[in-house]
Amino acid sequence: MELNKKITPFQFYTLLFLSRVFSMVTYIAGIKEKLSTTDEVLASVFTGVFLAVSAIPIVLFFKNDNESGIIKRASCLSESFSKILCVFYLIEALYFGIITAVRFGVFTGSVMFPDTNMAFFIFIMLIASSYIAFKGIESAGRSAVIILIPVLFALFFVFATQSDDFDFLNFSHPFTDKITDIVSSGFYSASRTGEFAFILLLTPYVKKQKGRHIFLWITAVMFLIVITEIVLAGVLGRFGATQLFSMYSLSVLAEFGFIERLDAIITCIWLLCAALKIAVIIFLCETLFSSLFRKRLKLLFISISCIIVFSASIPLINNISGFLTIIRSPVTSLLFIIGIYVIPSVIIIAEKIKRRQKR
Amino acid sequence: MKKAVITLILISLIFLTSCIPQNTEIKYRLVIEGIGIDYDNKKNLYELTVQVLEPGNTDAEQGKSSSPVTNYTVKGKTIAQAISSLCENTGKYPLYSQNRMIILGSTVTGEQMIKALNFFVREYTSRPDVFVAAASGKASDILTTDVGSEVPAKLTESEIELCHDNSLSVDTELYNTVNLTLEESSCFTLPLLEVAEDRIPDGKTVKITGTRACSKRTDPLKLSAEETQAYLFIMNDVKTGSISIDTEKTAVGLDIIESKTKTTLSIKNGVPFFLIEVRCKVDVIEFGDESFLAFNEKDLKKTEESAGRLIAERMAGVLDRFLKNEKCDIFRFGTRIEQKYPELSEKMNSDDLLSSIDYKVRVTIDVGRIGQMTIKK
Repeated sequence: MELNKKITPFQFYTLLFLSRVFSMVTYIAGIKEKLSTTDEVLASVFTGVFLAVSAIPIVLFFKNDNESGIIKRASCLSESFSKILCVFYLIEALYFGIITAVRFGVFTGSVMFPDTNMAFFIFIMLIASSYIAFKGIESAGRSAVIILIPVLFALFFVFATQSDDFDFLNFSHPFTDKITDIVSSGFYSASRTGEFAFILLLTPYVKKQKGRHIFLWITAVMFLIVITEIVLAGVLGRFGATQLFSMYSLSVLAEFGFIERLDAIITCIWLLCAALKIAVIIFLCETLFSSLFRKRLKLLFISISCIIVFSASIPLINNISGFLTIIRSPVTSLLFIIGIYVIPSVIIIAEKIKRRQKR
Repeated sequence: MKKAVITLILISLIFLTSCIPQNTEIKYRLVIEGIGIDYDNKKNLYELTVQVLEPGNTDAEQGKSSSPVTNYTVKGKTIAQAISSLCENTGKYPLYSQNRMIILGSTVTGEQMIKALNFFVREYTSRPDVFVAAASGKASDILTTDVGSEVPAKLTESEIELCHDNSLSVDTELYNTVNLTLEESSCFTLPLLEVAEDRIPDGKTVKITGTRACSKRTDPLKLSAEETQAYLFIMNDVKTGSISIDTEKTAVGLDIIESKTKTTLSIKNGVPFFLIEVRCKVDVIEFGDESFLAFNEKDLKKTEESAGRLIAERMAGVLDRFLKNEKCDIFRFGTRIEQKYPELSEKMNSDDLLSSIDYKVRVTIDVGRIGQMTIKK
C-alpha cells in the first residue's frame, strides 16, 4: 500500500465512533430477537462485553508491530494468503457499504422523505462519500473531528430533554427473556461493528496507534449504546419495539421550551455520519483493490466500489423484507468472527511459528 | 474534480428542493390539525372528521372572523380507506405532521380503539407525541364546534395542556397509549372532552369534564374532575392546581405549588401491599372568615390536616373503585408487581391480583405561604 498522509489516533477513532453512531441511530428494533425493555438494556451491556473481547485479538495483533496493516503482515507470510485476505476484506467492506447505503435509504425514505425515490439520494451520498475517499483518509479524519461536535450535541439534546418523560415503570423485570436470546442479541449488535476491520486494515494510515486507543473507543461506543438503550426503554417503553427506527421516534419527542420539532435537523446531523462511514468504506475498498492488483488506480477503484454498492443497494431499499432477511442472516456474524477473531489469530500464530523456524 | 462536484451539488439542489413539479406544493396538501374518529357499529365503518387548516380563510384585512379550518367527514372500513377517499374528493395529499390530536368518540371502544390507532403509529408523517383524547359523545361534535377565528384542535390542545398543568386532566400522547395497551394488565386514561354551553349566548365550547379509562377488555369508565385530581396524585403527575377544603371555621382555598408521590410495593400477608406517600406543598390563597385577622397558627395546622385527609380520602376512593369494583388497572400496579414480583403475577390472573391488592395512602401537606395577610399566634 502506498501511503500519502497519516492521521492522528484521535481523528481515526473519531471517524470510527461516528461510523458506529450511524449504525446505532439506524438500529431497527427487534431485528434479531424481540426482547423486553430491560433485557434490551442488558443486551447492550453484553454488546459492550463482546466489543471488549473482540478488541483483544486486535490489540495482540498490533502488540509487536503497530505500523503495518493486516494485508502487509499477511504478505510477509505468503503472497497468495494476502491476496485471499484482500478478497475477503473487500467482500466484507462492500457488504458493510451496501448495508450502510440501504440503512441510509430506508431511514431517510421512512422518516424524512417518504414520497421520494431514494435512488437519487443514495447516488448523491455516494458521490459525496467518493469525493471524501478520493481526497484520502486525512480529509475524512478532519471532517470527523468537525462533525463530532454537532453529533454529540444532537445526541445530548435528545437525551437531556427526555428527563420529564422518563418512567422507571417502562422497565420490565430483568431476564424476562431467555439469557441465550439476550446474549445472542448482544453479540448480533457487536457483530455490526464492522469498524474493527477498519482498524486492522487502516492502521498504516494512523500515527502511533496504541491498544489503549482501541479500548477508549470501545468504552465510548459502549457508553453511548447503553445510555441510548436506557433512554429508549425509559421513555418509549414498549412503544419503541413497535417503531422501525426507535431512535428517530425518540428524537421526535425531544423539545426544550420553545425549541421543538428539531428532529429534521437532528437526523440530518446524524446522516453526516453515514457520509463519513461510506467514505471510509470506499477508501478501504480502494486500498484493497490497489493491494490486490498492485496498481494505484484511485478513480477507477473508487468508481467500481461505488457502482457495486449502488447497484446492490437499490433493489434492497424498496424491499424491506429482503433487506431484513439479509441482515438477519448469519453473514454479518460470520464475517465478524472470521475477520476479527480468526484471521488475526491465524496470522499471530503463523508469525510465531515462522519466527521459531528461523531460530 | 472540485468543479465537477460543485456543479453536481448545484444541479442536485434543483432536484432536491421544491423547484421540480413532482414535489407537492402546500396548496395541494391537507394540513391536518385534528382527527375525530367515530364508529358506525351497524355498518362497521369508521367515520372520520378531519380538520384541515385553510390559511386562505383568514380574512383579517376586512376584520371578519371566518374559521381558518375546514372539517371533512369521510367513511371507510379502515382509517386508511377513509383518508384515501378524502384525498380522492379533495385532490390533495394529507400531511399528518401538524396533527395536534386524535379524538376517539364514545362509539370507538375496546379493540376498535387499538385498531384505529394502528394507522397513526404506522403512518410515516404522523408524530408519536400527538395527543389522544376521548369524546363523551361523537368525536365529530368536538371538532365541528364553532370557535370563531380559532383553530378548534389548537384550542382543545391548549386546554388539555392547561388543565393538565392544573391537575384537572391527564395529557395522553399517542406513544403513551400504545405503551399501555402493550402492557397486559394496564388500562390507559384519556382526557374526556364534551361540548358545553359557552359564556356568550348560544355559544358552544369544548370542555374537559374528567378522564376516560379505557382498555381492550373493559367498557370505558369515567373519572370525574375530583377523581382525576386524585388519580394524578397517585400517578405522581400533579404539577400545580387548587383545592378547596372545609375546616371547622370556614372554607379554605389552597394552591398546589409542588407535589411528590412515592409508591412503595411490598408483600404483606401474602398479598401485594402499596404504600402511597404524597408530600404536597401548598399556599393558602383564601381563608373565608368574616374577620380579616382570624387566621391563626392553629388554623394553619388544621388546614394542613384537613387538606391531607381530603386528598387521602379521594385517592382511596379512586383506588377502591378501580381496583376492587371495576378491576381496571389505571395505576400500572400490575406492571409494578410484574417488575418486582414476577412470580406473583404469573401465579394469579390479573383480576384476582388487582382485587387482592392492599394499600395505604399517606398524605402530608405543608403550607408554604399564606399570601399578603398576617397570621395570629
